[in-house]
Amino acid sequence: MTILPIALVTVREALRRKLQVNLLVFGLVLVLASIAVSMLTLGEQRRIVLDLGLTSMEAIGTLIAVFLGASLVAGDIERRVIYPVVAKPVSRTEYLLGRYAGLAATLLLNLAVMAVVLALAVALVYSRYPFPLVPVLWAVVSIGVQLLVIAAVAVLFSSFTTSTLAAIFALALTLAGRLSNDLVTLMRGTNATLSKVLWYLLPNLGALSLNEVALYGRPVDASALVAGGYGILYAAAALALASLVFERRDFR
Amino acid sequence: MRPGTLQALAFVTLAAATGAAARGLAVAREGPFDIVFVPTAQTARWSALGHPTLVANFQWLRAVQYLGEPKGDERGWDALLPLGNLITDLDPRHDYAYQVIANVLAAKGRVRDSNRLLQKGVRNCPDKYILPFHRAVNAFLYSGNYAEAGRWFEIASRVPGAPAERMRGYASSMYTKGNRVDAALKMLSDMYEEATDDESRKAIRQRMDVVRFEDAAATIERAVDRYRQDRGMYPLSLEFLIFQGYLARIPDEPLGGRWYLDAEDGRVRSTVRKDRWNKPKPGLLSPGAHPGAGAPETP
Repeated sequence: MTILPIALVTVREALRRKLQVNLLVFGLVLVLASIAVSMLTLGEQRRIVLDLGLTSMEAIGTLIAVFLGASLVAGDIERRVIYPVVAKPVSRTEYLLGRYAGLAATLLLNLAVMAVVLALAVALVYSRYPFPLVPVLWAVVSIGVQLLVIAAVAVLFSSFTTSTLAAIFALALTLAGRLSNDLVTLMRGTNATLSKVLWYLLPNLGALSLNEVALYGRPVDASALVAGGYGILYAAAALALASLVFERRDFR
Repeated sequence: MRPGTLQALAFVTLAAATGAAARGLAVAREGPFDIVFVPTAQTARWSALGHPTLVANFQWLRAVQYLGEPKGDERGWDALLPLGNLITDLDPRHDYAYQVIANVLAAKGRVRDSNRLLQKGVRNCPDKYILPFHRAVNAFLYSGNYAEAGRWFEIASRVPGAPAERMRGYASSMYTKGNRVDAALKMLSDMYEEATDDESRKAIRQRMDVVRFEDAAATIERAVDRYRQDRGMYPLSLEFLIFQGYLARIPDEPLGGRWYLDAEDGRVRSTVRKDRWNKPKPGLLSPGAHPGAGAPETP
């Protein structure tokens, strides 16, 4: 079991990085700023705090996933740290999965910290309303799945290109993934096949956003569970492809 | 000179100069807050990157600023319906947006727009009784269509969680055409109680004032009509109605203006409010009984 030690090293390394700490602090500030923004509204203050807070968590989590994920493998190669690792009896797939597991743990840890701060912010404005705890928890879990998908995509790019290019590609794919549902609507008719292919290739991140469920305190239906399963499968497929590419990669 | 002194001096001088330049910047907007461009729902959806509720909430904050502009009447309310439609296209379950925007639209005389928005809300939020309730109040107050108002009250009474007894009471009073001014004020005061923000309360208070205004104006107008029937001409001034025994006293003008008789159409108007609701449709009401019958005249 070499994955766990590599994952632990990755978590320790990530938590020491300035980028991740700065983004986390910025995320916390954004979540708290949602209280200030919500004061501009008429009634329904809670919906602004919750919507803005959840989206801030998602945006900051995405940035951390992209930038940490992109430099994970590519950075090791650029700094030549990879050589002593591959010289040991550790398969490249184990190394890759260990790095990904560490990144995933870091992302979920960040998400948990931001969720606690959001809970405090929400407690301030929700004191007069019943708080939809279960739907909000589902929304946070679905953000977690989104981050796992984005991290897998970033690791995939990181396995065959430089960290800068990997970050650019991963960010572009994430943005495209947020628009994939609209893409299908837009490209009906002559381009229907092309849009369908794109829809299957891009990660459908829009389906993993449960902000509306949280805002209206609606019960989570089967489609959300299907979306969660889809996200996990997409991340696994991206990691499998990353492993395939990485096994064949020549480090010279 | 100690090291760093020059830099500190440079910093202080430049900071002071920046502060002086900042004082010259135009900070306050001269005109009232206005929204010149409302994007289409499709464009906004694309820019939302999978977060339509977030964009709807930002547009809602713009709408709140637009609603709260003290010089709103001077600026006009043209952007309000497009903004309401945009918010509710992006987030069809934003029931509070339907409620507040439709309320203000009705208060500003845009009753058809208000009705359209409320009906969209009733379709998209079938669990919110307040939306058919507002729609019923519009039908009652502005169209004077009691059958329609009764139907909307009935729809409201069937929504789970609605104060069904109260709604059914309204529905039956609509169908029997009961005491209309009292009923109007009672309904508006119920709406006032339900409102949770100052802007909505302000709009409802304005609507209550207009009901009182129309009631008083209709009382004078009935006397004017009788005068004209008897003498074949309009009175030269409203005071003639008292001298000739058609009115015991001229009712107070609830909006703070002064009554006058418009010689062109025989309508009683105020120096602070020229708009009047249409006269009751023949056959729909007992003559002159209801101040709010008919759609409001377009300003």
